[in-house]
Amino acid sequence: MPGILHRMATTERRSSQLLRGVLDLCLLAVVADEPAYGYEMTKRLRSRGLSIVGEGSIYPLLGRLERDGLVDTYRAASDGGPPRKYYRLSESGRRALASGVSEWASARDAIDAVLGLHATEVAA
Amino acid sequence: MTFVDDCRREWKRLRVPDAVANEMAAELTADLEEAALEGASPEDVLGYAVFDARAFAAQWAEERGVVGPEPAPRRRLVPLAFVIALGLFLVITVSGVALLVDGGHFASARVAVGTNFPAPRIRKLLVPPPSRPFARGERQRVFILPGARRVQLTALPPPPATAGLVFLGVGLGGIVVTLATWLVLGARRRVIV
Repeated sequence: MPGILHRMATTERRSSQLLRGVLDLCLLAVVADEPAYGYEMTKRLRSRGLSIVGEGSIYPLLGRLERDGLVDTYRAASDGGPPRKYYRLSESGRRALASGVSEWASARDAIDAVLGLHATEVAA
Repeated sequence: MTFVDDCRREWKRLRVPDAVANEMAAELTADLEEAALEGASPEDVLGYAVFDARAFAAQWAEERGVVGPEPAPRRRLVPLAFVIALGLFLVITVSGVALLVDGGHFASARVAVGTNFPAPRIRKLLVPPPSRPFARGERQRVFILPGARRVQLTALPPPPATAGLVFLGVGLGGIVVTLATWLVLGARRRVIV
């Protein structure tokens, strides 16, 4: 039982660390096509299989993206609710997203090459 | 006190401009309200940050780059005042101990100057310990000056022990109170920080 709990904690920690490194890219990606407000972004991430529960919150990250000029913000009325603060990708944000996706693909390929080889050895 | 209220308090402490704090609070409130309407929990919106509003608010403000300038460092007047008070009470304590141990060396003396005694002019002076202090039990000392003038020092009785005790009590009490106040204030400051 302690071994199972330990493995679960290790898995959760690793997932959390992996996501933390690319969460900013994910946020840029979910507003690339259509602007969104904070909670809406959380829902879009969740609908694509990413839960931010273990990651704290997206708001500080949004703050950094805004400060760095990677997203622009504006206020607009939402469906029947109060005006919301919407985030949309800026031009530099679009460039950062393209560059980040490229970096992620390179890293993923390299890691796949290592872990895929290991998986083959284990299977053999 | 809601989560947003806690955030506001932290932003105020961090000197985040009111306009920015209001904007962040409004954004957060609207998202939390929408989540509640959909049956989602605050944790679904905020993740683990929901358990620590202060850290969340500070991190958000810092990432946005809206944390105000640090308050000017406290001037060192307060510690200096404590050191002065401690020094003062230490002197009083030492004086009390000295009075208790050997009050005679600090006793006053009656000085008479004249050619015939009883002297025509008698003054009571506080004299510092002469080059040779009055020995214990020595009551009188006479000097012969040129011109046959005589100076007669008569030791007055040492001050009663109560004076020494009062000095000692005031000194030790002052030291204890000063140190306690210093420690309490220091601990409170650490907690606030």
